[in-house]
Amino acid sequence: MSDLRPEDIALLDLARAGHEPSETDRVRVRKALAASLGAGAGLSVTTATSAAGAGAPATATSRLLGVGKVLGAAAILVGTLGGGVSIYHAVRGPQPLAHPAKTEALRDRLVEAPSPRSNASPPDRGARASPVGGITPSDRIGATDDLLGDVRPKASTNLGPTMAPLAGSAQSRSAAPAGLHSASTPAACPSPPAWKANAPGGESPPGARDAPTMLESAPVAARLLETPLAPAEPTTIEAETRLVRSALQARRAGDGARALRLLDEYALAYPNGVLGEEGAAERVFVLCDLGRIQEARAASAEFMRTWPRSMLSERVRASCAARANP
Amino acid sequence: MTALRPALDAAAASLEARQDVADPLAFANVYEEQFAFVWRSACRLGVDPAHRDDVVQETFVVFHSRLPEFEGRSSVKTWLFGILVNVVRAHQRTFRKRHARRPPAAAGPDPETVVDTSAGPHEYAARAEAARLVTQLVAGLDDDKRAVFVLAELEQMSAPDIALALGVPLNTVYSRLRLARQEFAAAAARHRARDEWRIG
Repeated sequence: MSDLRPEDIALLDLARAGHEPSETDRVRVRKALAASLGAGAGLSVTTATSAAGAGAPATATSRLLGVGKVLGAAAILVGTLGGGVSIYHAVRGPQPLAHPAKTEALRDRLVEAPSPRSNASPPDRGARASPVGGITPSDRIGATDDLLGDVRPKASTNLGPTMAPLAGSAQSRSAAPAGLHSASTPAACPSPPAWKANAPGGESPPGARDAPTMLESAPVAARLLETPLAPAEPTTIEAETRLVRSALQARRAGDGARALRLLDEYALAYPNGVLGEEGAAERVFVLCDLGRIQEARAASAEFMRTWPRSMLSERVRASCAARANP
Repeated sequence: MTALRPALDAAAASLEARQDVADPLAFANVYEEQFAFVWRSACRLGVDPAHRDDVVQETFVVFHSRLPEFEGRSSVKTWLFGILVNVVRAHQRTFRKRHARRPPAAAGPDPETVVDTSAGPHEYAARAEAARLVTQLVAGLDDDKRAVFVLAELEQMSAPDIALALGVPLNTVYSRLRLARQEFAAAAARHRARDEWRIG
């Protein structure tokens, strides 16, 4: 079940290709990274030769910068471990710059080597193929009943023998009827308590977790799928939009009384509606059109108090309510 | 014998370099393969364009320092994203402290720098605008939901991979994703409604 409407999905599809970095971005960050990680001398970001020819002070500076970066990173790890992502649980204190010799070679390669990357994105290790703009609703997590279809063996994830039968279940699922995701897919559904055993608090480091353990939570997902998790929120949004839009159209048509009635109806039906801000602003405009200045002023004050940073505040301020103020 | 030394060293270095090129876990290869992913994820997670270089760089620095511990239980991509999330959170904490009174600007892509490989100018502009809008809408989600939403809806990553990347149980991923979709849909509806109001 997806809570996204077709227009939302179309927007996401379109946006997916809009965040790609340019080659300039790639080169710029590569150079900065080479300088940061470069334990070698000189910090030249043009050629390895010139980097090697630089003096000792620069070497010391680069090492300090590199170590500083790593220490800073370690601080980030420690600071953010509380309840969030916990890859860094294994941090055992500040570490020196890793592999100085390798780092220097790396810097040289980063600076000098032409990018092996072609225009097409390289395949990600173990990641599902991401066809830009080519996603269909059935590809989306939870968009259909395909949730467990995502649990499939991947070459890079070292899943071990536990995963082997999954290939079969993944292949056979296309022939299965919708809603079959239950404990009847045995390979994907070992016992869920493994989560608790291996991940106290539910937040253990990915690096420390065995992939099969993670997969053992699949029954949980299956149960979630079988249980209607959410009310029909999109319907609510659509209904809200329809109601407020009707009020807008009524006002534009000169039927202020009907517009006000619709806004009252909206406020009653959706006291915490997502379009409450728009509805409140529209109420000010309607009251102005009806010549009910005092009420418009009160509605305006209420609007500004509730949504002081609203994008509609300029229009509300420019309404009759503001002009009526002494 | 001593005359052979430089040649032997060169051959050894060349062999090592070739091994690194072949090794998908060699840092340089990881950088080339995953840079775009880390970059756009930083953008989608709301990193201000002025700080995006720093965040991406920091992510790879952390990755480099932790690379020896990588055991292949998750993909490099999911591991990197886990690092990125932490780096972004730390960055945003610092940023919010410094600019407590000023809401962070929507960190959408600069239309001038959006890369497009095939589309015409109209499609190009539409993608840039859509990316900007989505970034703005996603910025309204809280950190946890935003991370799940970005990976699921924009990176099209599977739920188990997201669970690995974020270090949370699978059911948490589904739960956050469901809520994130609802909030995104609501924000998109608001945006469309506001567009009508502006025109009106």
